[in-house]
Formats: sequence, structure tokens, C-alpha cells
Amino acid sequence: MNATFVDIDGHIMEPSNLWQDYIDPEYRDHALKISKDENGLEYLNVDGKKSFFGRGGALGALGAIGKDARPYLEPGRISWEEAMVPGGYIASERTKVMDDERIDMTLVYPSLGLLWEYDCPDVKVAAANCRAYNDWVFDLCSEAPTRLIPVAHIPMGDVDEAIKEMKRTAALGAKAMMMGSDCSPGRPYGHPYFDPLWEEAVALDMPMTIHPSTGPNSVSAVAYPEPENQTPWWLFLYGGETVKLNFSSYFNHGTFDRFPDLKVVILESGIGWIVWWLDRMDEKFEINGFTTPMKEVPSTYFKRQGFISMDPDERLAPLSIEILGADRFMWAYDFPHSDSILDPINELEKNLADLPEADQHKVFGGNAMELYKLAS
Amino acid sequence: MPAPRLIDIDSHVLEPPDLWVKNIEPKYKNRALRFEKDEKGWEYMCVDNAHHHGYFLDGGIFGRAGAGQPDPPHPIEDYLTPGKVGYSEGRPPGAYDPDEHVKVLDQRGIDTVILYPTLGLTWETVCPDAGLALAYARVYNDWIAGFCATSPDRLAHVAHVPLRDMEGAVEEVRRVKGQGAKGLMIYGRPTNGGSYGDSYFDPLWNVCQELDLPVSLHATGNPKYFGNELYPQADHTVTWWVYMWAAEDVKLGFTTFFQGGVFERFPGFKLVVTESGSGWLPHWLERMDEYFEIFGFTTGMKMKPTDYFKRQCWIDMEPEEKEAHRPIELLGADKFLWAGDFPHSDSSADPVGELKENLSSLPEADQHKIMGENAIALYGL
Repeated sequence: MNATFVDIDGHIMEPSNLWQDYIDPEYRDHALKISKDENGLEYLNVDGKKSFFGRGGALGALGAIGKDARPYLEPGRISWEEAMVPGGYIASERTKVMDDERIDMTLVYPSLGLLWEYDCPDVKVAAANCRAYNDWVFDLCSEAPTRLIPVAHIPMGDVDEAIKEMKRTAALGAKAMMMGSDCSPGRPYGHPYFDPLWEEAVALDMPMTIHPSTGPNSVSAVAYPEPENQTPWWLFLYGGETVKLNFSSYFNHGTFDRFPDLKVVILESGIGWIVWWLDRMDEKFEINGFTTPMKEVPSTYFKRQGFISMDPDERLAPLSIEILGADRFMWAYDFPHSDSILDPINELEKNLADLPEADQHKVFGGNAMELYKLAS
Repeated sequence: MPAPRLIDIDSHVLEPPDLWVKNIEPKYKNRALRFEKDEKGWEYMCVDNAHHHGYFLDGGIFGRAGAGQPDPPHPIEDYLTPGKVGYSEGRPPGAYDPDEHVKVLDQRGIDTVILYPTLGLTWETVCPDAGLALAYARVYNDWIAGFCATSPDRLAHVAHVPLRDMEGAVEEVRRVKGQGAKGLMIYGRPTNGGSYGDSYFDPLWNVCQELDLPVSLHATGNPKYFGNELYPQADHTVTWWVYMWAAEDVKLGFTTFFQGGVFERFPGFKLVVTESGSGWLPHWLERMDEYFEIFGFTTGMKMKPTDYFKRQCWIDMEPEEKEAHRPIELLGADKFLWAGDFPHSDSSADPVGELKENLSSLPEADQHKIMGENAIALYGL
């Protein structure tokens, strides 16, 4: 039996005029764009402000997969336009990349879209920019509908706007929602503030995915509040930690008890931590569980409602899958970002070779087909 | 093979509540660390004559620091009810009397313990006066040295060195070395809000390297621990969350040593990661290495993070960690220690039994390393 390979988190590179072109006219003055600072260095312009991390003339590093990152990180050397690989924004070029890499389907995620949400306190502006991106990415995916699967970016600064955009994009065929990991201080996604969103998500049977995003409230900023002190090494290392914090808040608030059919997917955070984290959650729950609203042992919720994506080359993946079972695991390529490796399928096959074939196939694509309701 | 020595590298005393009032130098007499009660009658720790708010600084639940004992005299819920079990009432004798502590070691089958403070895990963050902080620390360091001197084969300690004045810190390191301290304890994250990779801290790593004193990063009751910083908990009793994230604070501090290239500048410096579990380590080293390959040139490191770890770092496992054998199988047994965490409320009542059970699948030689041999070599016991 041939396996189907579903990359559950591949990126596009947004053309810089996307928001200008697609945003509702009344918000055109607030559209995201790439500007140059006083030193001529590019930055992502978020309603007149510099993005917390998307500044300093190194945006192009988001297109540097498989290349030496040095020139891309040299301020001002490679512009966003120059870094745009054709597979990053042209559907027919992307499917060629997928053919070469033996990937059947890709769930499509943004790049610049990971760099701005919490630099934008105006929730109406944030929602307008999300709509613009979503409309563009749905147009892109419609050119290869069996291969490119659209995921909508919903604005999480305001629960009503998030619900509105989820419903709108679900009607357009979105297979999942993306929530950036950086969140409002004191209001991670497990917080009851978001309950109306989960209620709708359950009604739509919509998987909710948490993807690392940068911003002033992310864990990476705790030790280094000034973005220039965070090296790219630190930023990528800690990118997953804000996802973990957000995911853990669903436990702390008993959210999975209130919404037992809610599905939450952890993206681009590695998987080597999950076994240990669940073990620790359970162990501390035995002592202090009564201080939370949780009714079950925490790992129960993960096995019922959580999913997690592995990097193809994570050496610890088979171990984690053996311990927790294959049902909760999927994988992602992360093309074309600089922190990722080429040739993902060979890496993945090599890495999981010791698992039973049925389990391999679940991780390669079976789990994703079922979760996201993809047609083979 | 002879029976293994058992060395618990991280358990706690509960300092006498009047320790500072009785012993602080005259200059700071009226600013001594002490307990007071707020308007509700709940205990708070009075630091420099001020009432600070936060996890284990106030809220009247200090008694729970002593709840981790066999058959605690109160149900755990009582320990977490504000005003119910006071600090003094909650203290088991083994937490403040050295002879009683030796009895605890005998009951548990432990040969030697390395002792850490309890109150000392919280006040430093809210004590910005560097001179006062050093005075508080000297009182504790003198007391714990005397405590351990009564049974030097069984009781050992690390000194608490506050970090807001590097010159004073270095002086205190030299002083505690003379008192027999086996190492230092510092907070999981710098109390000055920075990163341990900052060159500000270099004089400290330098003197510890010179005197061969391992430095322990310990989880603290830092009111600004990062689970709380991003996600403030209105209610101090949400301790499940606190326990989950306390370890992440240590991991964050630990990682700043790599980012700042500290191990490159001080190749003989030794770092011990405590009370944070060990299951996260293989994943974290793998992830650090993976991003090092791509972005290493943006940091102060010249070698892979795993290479520094294997050269200069140790980590303790909790006896109750069921999956602890896995990180050991992946990374080798040489860098692993274990800690009993007596008498804190989240610790095991039978640490040695649980430890033996959870290590039982490993080769005997590796078990013995983790039970005691690694600690004996590291601390020169």
C-alpha cells in the first residue's frame, strides 16, 4: 500500500503588495506592507509601526531553506522580493516542489503573517489584514485544489472577530484555523474568554492549530525583551515555547472538559518534549490537580483532543510515537523557511523506519487526512 | 558490586523564622528578613520592611513548604488554605534540626544530602538593595555551614550568593569556599532581569571556575517566573500551573548560558540544573543543536550545544520521573544526578524506592553513577 504524504504546515511567501490589493478599501491605509527604515533596511510595517521581529533588513531569511543563512541575515543584503522563491507564491511552482519532494498535499500557512498580529492592537485592523491574507491564499490554493489546502489566519486579539473570520472562511472551504502563538498578556487561548470560539469550532468540527508567531508577549522575549538581543538561534529555539504555554493553558482552565470535541494541533514546536510534559502534568496533577478545574488526568485530554507535528529529522520522534501511540502525530516540511531541511520525505521515512508500517502511514498522512477531512 | 552510595543532591532546610532578626549584622538590624502578618492575619515574608506580593512571598500558605513528609500532620488542602498552617507549624523537625535531618536520611536510606534553602528561594528577587541582599545571604550561609558541620559526612550544602553586585558576590564566593560550601545556588533566571550570558556575570563564573565550585540553577518562587509573567495568576493557590512552569524558568536561564557563550569563555566552569525534571533535556539539546547548525554563528558558541553540555553540565532527575531512564539511555549516565526535594510539598515520601524502581531497567553501573558516584566526583564528597 502506498502512503499518502500530507505536509500539515508548509509556508507561502506573501507578495508585499498582497494586503494593499486585497484589503477592504476602508482599511487600505492600515494595510500591512514592507517599508524601509531610516537606514534603508526593510521592515514589516504594521499599521505604522515596526513589527517586533520583522525588522532590521533580514526578512528574506524566511525564504532561505537549504541555503547558508549568513547572507540572508546580513541586514539589507537580500530583500524580501529577492528572497521570494517561486514555490513560495505561485501555485503551479509550489506543486512542482511538492512533486519533486513526493508530497501529496500541503496545508498552507503564511510567513509574514507570523510576524505582526500582536504589534497591531486595533482588532478591526487586525481582522481586515487577516481577511485580506485569507482571500489571497484561498485564491492561490484554488489553482491546485487537490494539492494546496487552505488554512485561515484568524485574529485572536478579539474573540468576536475570530469567530466571524472562522465562519466566513469555513464557508469558503478552510480546513483548519491558524492561531498565532503570541497572545494577549494574561489571556492565553485556554482562557474562558475564548469559549464562544471553541463552541463554534466544535459546531463546525474545525481543527484549531497553534503556530509559533513572534511578538512582544512571546516566551522568547522574556529573557531578551529587546528584539535585537534575540539571535535567530534563540528565536527559533524558543518559538515553540509560546505554543506550549498556550496549549498548556487549555489544561489549566479545564477547557478540554468544557469542549470535549475540540481539536487542537501543536505546530512547529518539535515533539520531543510532549512525552515528558504530559508525564510532568500528570505527576503534578496527582499532587495539586484539585487547584485546576480538570476532571481527568491531563494526558487523557491530549490523547483525546490534541495533535502534534514533528520535524522530519527529529531523532526522538520514534520514541515519542512508541510511547504515546501513532494517532496523535503528523509531520510538517516548513518550506521555505531557513530553519528547515530539504528532502523531508526521505528524512521522514528513514527516521520512522523502525515503526510498524501502519503507524508510519498514519504519521505520513493518514492522521492528517482524517483530522482535516481531506479527500484522497 | 558493592552497594551504591546514595547522594541526594538537592533537599531543603526550612530556615528558622527568626534567623535574620537574631543574626544580621547591626547595620541592617531594623531591616532583617522576617515573617509578619497582614490585615487578614496571613503570613507574609517581610523583605526590607516591605510586604511584597507573589508566589511564596505572601498569601499565608508557608506551611506547605514542609508538607512533603510521610503522613503529613495536615491534609494537603489545609496546607494550601491561606492562614491555616503557619510556616513554623508546618516545619518537620528534620527541616531545621541537623540530628533530625540525619534521622530522615537514615529512614530513607540516603548517605549524604546537599542542602538548599527554602525562604532563600524567594526573597532575592524583591530585594534590590545589593548590600542588604548580601547581608541576608551571609546570615544564611553562616547558619547552614554550622548546620552541616555537625555531621560532615552526611550533611553538605551549597551557599546562596545574590547577584546584584558582582564584586560583593565574588567576595562571598571566596568566603563560603572557606566555610566548606560544596557549590553555589543561584536563581533559575537572573534576579536583575538579564541573561546569564551577559558579560556582567563573568567575574562570578571566573571565580567558580578558579575555586572549582559548581553552580546550581534552582527553581525559585520568583514572582516573575515566566509562566506568570505572560500569564499572571490571580490566585496564588493555582499551584499546578506554578509547578509546571517553575522548571521552565530554570530551562530559560540554562539556555542563556549557551546563547551567551559562557561555556566557551569558561571551559572549566561547572553548571548543575536542579529541580526541573530531566525528560526535556534530550529534546532541548537536539533542538539547540539543530538550530546551531543553521544559526550558530549568531551566538557566542563555537561547538554544538550538546558538546558543552557533556563537558560542563549536570542535571538532576526527580525520583518519581517514570521516563527518566530514557534521557539517560540517550545521553549516557555521566551527567545525571538525583534529588529528593525534602520536605517540599511536591516531593516523594520514598525517594530512594522510587528512584531505584525508575532506574531499574538501566545497567547496574549506570544506576550506581546516578545514585551517587557522579555526585561524589562532582562535589568531591
